[in-house]
Amino acid sequence: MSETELPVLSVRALQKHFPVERGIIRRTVGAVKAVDDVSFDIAPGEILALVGESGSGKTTLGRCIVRAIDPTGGEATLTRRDGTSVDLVRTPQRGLRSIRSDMNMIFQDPFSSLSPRMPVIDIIGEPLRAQGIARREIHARVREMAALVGLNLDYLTRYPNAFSGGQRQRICIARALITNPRFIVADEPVSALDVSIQAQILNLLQDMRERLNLSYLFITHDLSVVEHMADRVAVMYIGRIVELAPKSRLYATPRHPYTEALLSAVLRPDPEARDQPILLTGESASPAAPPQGCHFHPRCRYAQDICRTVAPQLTEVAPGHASACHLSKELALRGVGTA
Amino acid sequence: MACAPLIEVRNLRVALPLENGVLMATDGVSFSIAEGETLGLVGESGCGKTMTAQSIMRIAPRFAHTTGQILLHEAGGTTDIVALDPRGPAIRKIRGGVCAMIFQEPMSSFSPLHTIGNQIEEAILLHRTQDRAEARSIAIDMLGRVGIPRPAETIDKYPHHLSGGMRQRAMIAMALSSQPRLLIADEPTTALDVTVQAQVLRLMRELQDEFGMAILYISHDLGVIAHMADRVAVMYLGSIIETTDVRRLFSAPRHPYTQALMRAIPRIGKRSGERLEAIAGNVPIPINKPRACGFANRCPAVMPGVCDVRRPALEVVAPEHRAACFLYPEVVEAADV
Repeated sequence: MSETELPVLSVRALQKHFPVERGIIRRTVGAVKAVDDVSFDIAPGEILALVGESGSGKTTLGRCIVRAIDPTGGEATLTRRDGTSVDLVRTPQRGLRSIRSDMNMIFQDPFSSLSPRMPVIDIIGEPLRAQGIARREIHARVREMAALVGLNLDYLTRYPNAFSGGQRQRICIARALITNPRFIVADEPVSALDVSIQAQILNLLQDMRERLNLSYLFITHDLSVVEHMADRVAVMYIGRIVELAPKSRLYATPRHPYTEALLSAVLRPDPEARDQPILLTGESASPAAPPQGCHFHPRCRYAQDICRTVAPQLTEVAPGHASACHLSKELALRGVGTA
Repeated sequence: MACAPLIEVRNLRVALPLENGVLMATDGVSFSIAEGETLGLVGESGCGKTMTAQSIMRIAPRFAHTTGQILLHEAGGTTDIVALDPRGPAIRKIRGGVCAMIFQEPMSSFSPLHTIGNQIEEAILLHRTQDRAEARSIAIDMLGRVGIPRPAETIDKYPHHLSGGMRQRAMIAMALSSQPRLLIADEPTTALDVTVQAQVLRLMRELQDEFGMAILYISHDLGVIAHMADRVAVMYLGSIIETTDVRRLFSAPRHPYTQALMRAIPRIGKRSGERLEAIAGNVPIPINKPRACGFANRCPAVMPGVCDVRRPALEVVAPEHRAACFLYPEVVEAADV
């Protein structure tokens, strides 16, 4: 992660607004700002975790970047393995096929993201087939990749239903990595797995990063997993990034009240810890009707008049540490002690 | 917590006859819960924790074959729930009355066709009073207690009008409206955001303090269990493999599975970036399961010729601490007799 190297991904002012339609002529009456003016960079080999609760827009953001859905504004520049850059937002759908080899996605549910009618060897090899590579070479590369992610090579001709959840997630990872990408969007990759299997998959994702020099946008709601995996963390709340910082800084000295509340709500597996979560009032507002000013102000225990009217900008409060809170400078927020 | 037990589960076996063999969902589970106590039941998917809960309510699948005893001790006498007709009047009194249950997905326990109030009132009319007006005022009071804003208006809303956290609160209100002695909570916060989970857990503790009910708290989340439980039972492949009070379990786990589980979870505030110690392999499917320790094929301390030929019983291996593992002489002795 040298300073001079170009970021793998550079996102600027990315937007995804869904129109809200009413009536029989489907008149557009407003917009759900699922992703609203989001900017960040991911360095080569870096894991950026994107944290947020349901409805924060983290999954939509991930899908916009891989163009599973089309963003409505902004830029997302991917630096490819060959050194050229491409703006993912402006690339037409037809042009995406060649970019897919540099970028891929791993989904939460390893049960619904695999075709039940294809043997595993074809599932993993599918991205190569799309590139027009010969069958013999595809099979050789699939076997190599399957061995790398820890799949039993004798079972490659079986169908996904013969595999457990953890094994299926390995299949998904193999499929995502088969084209030798630089960048992976991993959307809650371990949330559907049992605790004992989670650790296997998290270790695998870290090994793959080291061996293949991958960068991840790691989307999750689980702050314990984030602390284990991430280099930097972005916290989202109703479509906006409210805090972005190196992991250890974010956990030890959060600068946004929402991050403070999130960290305090993580229950540690230690009965002596007597964690005292900061109880927020209510729940996250709907992105269809976000509050004025700072989106978080109705639940914030520090909110003042300015928070109710003026939306705070994400600004640097310490080197590499940005927060979108009017009171960032004044507040002394509680972090989680890092041993 | 040496109060008289409210409920005693003895040697509970639930067998599900399937096409390709018999699936033992729970295989000889025994535990008891005292008045006002919270027992945490931990385990991964398929370990039988939900089937245990469903057996207490007698809502397990109809083709399930249940044996053993579930003794409910009340002032008026003791009832064996397993012996009751699952559709008879006796279990109907217990279900939703003395024993109430809340689920992971609140949408599945509310009917979408009736208002929240209608459904809560129905439970109250069945168990507490015959007076409709009184039932309604109890329902409004309960909705207020669980922290639902404007309960007198919300009572006439339909479940889909409420957000996930509010639905979960409404379900807790419905479960508690009959003033149960035992609340079975099956992963009640798993589908909720962490900030909302914090609210719901706080609420459950407050209500437990107020009503003094016992809680069977089922979860796969060791953080939640550490926070909520007085005692913990760890399940693996249909059996309880370790049980003790919450502090002993987390400070000195005895069973290799519990020990491995504790090392496999990422912990906040601990040194990060290290590799997690994953548990190798997968949970086997308990169809036609052999007489052996269920964890033997994944266990780092497996003793060939011992663990794979006999099944360890849950024995006392330390004060107030039971484990089912042949590493402990108490378990070996019990098997030899």
